[in-house]
Amino acid sequence: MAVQLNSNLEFIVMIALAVILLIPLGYGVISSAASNDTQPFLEKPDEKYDKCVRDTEYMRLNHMDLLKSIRDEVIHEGKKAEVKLKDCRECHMSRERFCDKCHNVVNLQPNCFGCHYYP
Amino acid sequence: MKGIGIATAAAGLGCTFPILRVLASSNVASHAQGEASSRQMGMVVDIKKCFDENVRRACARACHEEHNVPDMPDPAEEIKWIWSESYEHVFPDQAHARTADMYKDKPVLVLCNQCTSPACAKVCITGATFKRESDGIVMIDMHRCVGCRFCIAACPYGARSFNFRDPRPVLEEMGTLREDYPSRVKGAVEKCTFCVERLREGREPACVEAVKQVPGGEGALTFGDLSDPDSDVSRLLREKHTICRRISLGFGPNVFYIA
Ligand code: SF4
Ligand code: SF4
Repeated sequence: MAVQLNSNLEFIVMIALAVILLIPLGYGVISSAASNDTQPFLEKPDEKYDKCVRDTEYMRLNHMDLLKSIRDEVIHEGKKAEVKLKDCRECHMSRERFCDKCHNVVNLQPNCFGCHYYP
Repeated sequence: MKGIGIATAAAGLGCTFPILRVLASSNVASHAQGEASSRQMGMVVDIKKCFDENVRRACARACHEEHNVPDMPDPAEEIKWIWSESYEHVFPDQAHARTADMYKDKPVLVLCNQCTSPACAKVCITGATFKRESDGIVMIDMHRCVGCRFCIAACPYGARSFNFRDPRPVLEEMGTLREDYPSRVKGAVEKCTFCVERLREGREPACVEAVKQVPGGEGALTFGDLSDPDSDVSRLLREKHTICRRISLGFGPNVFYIA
């Protein structure tokens, strides 16, 4: 009987824990579905170039990995840069209207701009 | 158990004082081993031509403006990539009681030696400082530098500077902030890079280019590939008597001086 009680209690505690852990996630999903405010509005790139160095979907998810791999090639291997952060600036001219839009939503403060000039 | 304790203590000591490891390994053998870079860029400095203040100032200005090196108001926070020091300081193993007047207390141009077996890279705890295989330049990956300053302690040439504060406001105030070259952040270490960003484009380092504009500065600095026997630096080194800073330490400097 004592054993039975214990495992019941364990089960309840686990469910409660799972619910508590999922609250922030659920809150995020509900609130972002409820309003469009958190959807970043990205500035349209300049007309000068007709496309980005990679397709939009790739850039949206992996731009940081691309930048890091270019960094490794340039700094560690001494190769020429395929693209530099300052080239991104050619189209996406404002950090506030481009980079920060998404970074703010996901609450990220990348430290690129401490060194790299991006107004 | 006791054995393990001693071993851990020894390993701990090695970690806490990486300088010990450097001193232990800074012999001629490790110098030769460092020669592994397939290419090695190097510089020859003509000491006498650099006695001229205009020449030295032109180098420093060109370099520091090009690389967003701020002129820190507090001398204790000074940041420098190329600067001057007295002959006695630069060549403590050359200077003696009867050093010729023309060298005594005279300013000598100094910069990072891009050592063949760099002490700074050996002590770096994150691998931020490393010797590059492609051109033998000792680089700092600023993304990895954590500001521990072991490298500053290890470099026997004082070639490295620490950012005690964010340099950008100082650069902005000076009006010399360049938008196309990164500045640094508080806590990062920096030094001369032999102008990698220029070499990539087939240009000469900024200091070498700058001295040519100064009357009498022609030939004060010569830059090139030491591994190419036909390069200007190799030719100069074959023809002239040159000295290096503190070679007895075994780090293998790649900046040479025509006395
Ligand atoms: S001069 Fe100093 S900073 Fe430059 S490579 Fe040698 S040890 Fe490193
Ligand atoms: S080689 Fe370049 S980075 Fe080094 S001192 Fe000269 S100008 Fe400065």
